[in-house]
Amino acid sequence: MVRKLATTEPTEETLRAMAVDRGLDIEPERLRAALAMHVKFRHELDQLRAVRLEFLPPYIEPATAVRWIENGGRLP
Amino acid sequence: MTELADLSISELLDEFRAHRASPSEAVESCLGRIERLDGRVNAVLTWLVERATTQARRSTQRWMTGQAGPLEGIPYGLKDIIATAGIRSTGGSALYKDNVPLESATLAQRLAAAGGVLIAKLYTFEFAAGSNATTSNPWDLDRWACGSSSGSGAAVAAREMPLSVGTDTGGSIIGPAAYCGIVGVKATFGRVPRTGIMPLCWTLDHAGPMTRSALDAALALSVMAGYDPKDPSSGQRPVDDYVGGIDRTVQGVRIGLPTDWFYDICDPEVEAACRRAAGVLQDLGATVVEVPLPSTKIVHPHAIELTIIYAELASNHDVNLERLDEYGPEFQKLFIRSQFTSADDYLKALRARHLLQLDFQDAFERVDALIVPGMLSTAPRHDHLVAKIGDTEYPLLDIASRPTAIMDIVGVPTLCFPVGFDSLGLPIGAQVAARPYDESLCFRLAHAYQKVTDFHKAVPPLVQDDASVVMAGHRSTTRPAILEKPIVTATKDSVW
Repeated sequence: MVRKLATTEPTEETLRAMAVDRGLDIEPERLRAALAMHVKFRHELDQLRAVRLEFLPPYIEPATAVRWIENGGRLP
Repeated sequence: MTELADLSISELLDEFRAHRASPSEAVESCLGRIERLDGRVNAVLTWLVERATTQARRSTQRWMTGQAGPLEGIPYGLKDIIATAGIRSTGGSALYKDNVPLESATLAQRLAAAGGVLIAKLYTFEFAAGSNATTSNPWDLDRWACGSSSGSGAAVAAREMPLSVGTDTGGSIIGPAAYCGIVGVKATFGRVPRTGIMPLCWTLDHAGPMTRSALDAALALSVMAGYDPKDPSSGQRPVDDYVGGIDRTVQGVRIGLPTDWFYDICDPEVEAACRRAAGVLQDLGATVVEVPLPSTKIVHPHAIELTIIYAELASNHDVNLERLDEYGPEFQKLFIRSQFTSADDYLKALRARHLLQLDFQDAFERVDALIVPGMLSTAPRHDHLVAKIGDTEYPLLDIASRPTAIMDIVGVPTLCFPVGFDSLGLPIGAQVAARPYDESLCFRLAHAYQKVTDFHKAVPPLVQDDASVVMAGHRSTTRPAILEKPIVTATKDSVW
């Protein structure tokens, strides 16, 4: 599998399918509003998705950020 | 003639200590200010007249008997996502309009134990994220006070009280402080307990004081900060003596001006004011150098912020998903969008936080503190919510949290303080940020700046006009014991 930055935007149908899968019945107008917010945000989200986080050390897990703060701005 | 409502916390404490004024008189002065101005400012959601008057009487007694606490008799307000026992705590939402907690939030308990007198609960964006159509900026009532701690910022700027408490997930303390020309502190993540505060996002939520001077903020944070076993994110370090060290020289302190991110998109007047503020500190003996934050070019902090907020908001509010229609229109949009956040995006955002922390770690090898803008522009008009950067207008939410959310993501302490006015006479704020748990340095630098400047003493025209009303002897004699204003969540101009 090769990861590429997305070249197409999700559609209303994409979100509807996700909603149905979760058992949510969302009115079309609300779905369109959510889609508009998602599309607006998409470029930044793609940047985040493109970030490579290493599998080998120094490994970062969510708790790493909290440990860094507790230790005064560095890791033990 | 100076009204007691115009005095800072430290000035009021001096008056009480010398028995030149009493908490009863100070509370009366603040209630009068609210009565006269808040119909236009709309910072106060719930006005606690009878309760405040009774508590002020007890505080007055404690000053007489030598039992005064560190904030004895200081009037204050709380953002209405903070629980207060026996007082409605709405979250700024119709969903919880009748919510009356049995127990106060930890920080509210601490303020009360220190002798503070709660006089009002303050308007907030719905659950610190939706919208608030009501609160205006005391510097120009046609303009936004920012959010989500809009009531907390406006109330202090309007001299309705010398202290309020706000919360900050993406900039909700720093933003209102910058727009309203006051001091706001977002301490280190975990420094101020969040027990009893309605959550927006547990990874990024902070609470902190909003005041008119750095010294006042140090006094307030000294009471609010410290370990709370009920808050799973609470830091266990002992609390520094923020007030004791505040007068120490800034000679030799190394200040950094980031070359990335913060000044990339910034109104020229705001940037100039921030650089001048660094120059003032340089004149006092600090050194100023430029520092890079290269990861901000790779990891967009806004993407981290929104992804984490969406995911945790969805989880927090899942219990009320069936009551979607009861939320305000802005929060509804957020809530529905949040349903489509994937687990891998959320985990990537949580892990990528540390990349930004490593940038700050490198910067703090070279400097002790950073000076950056509080907000990138000054307060926009209610009817035109944009960020005006020079001649370019940006959608407000696209860039509003740019200088602030990164501080929540990284978790470092930051303090916003007024550093000037733009050509329209609107306040400009700068942030001073330091290493985790070095709030003392933020206070020291801002206090040193405020000892040689007077931007923090500037009074909005609205309040100046009120002073002449007071001198003319206007005084109301009929007040309700409690006044509960309506929650308004619709906006004329969509924020999101």
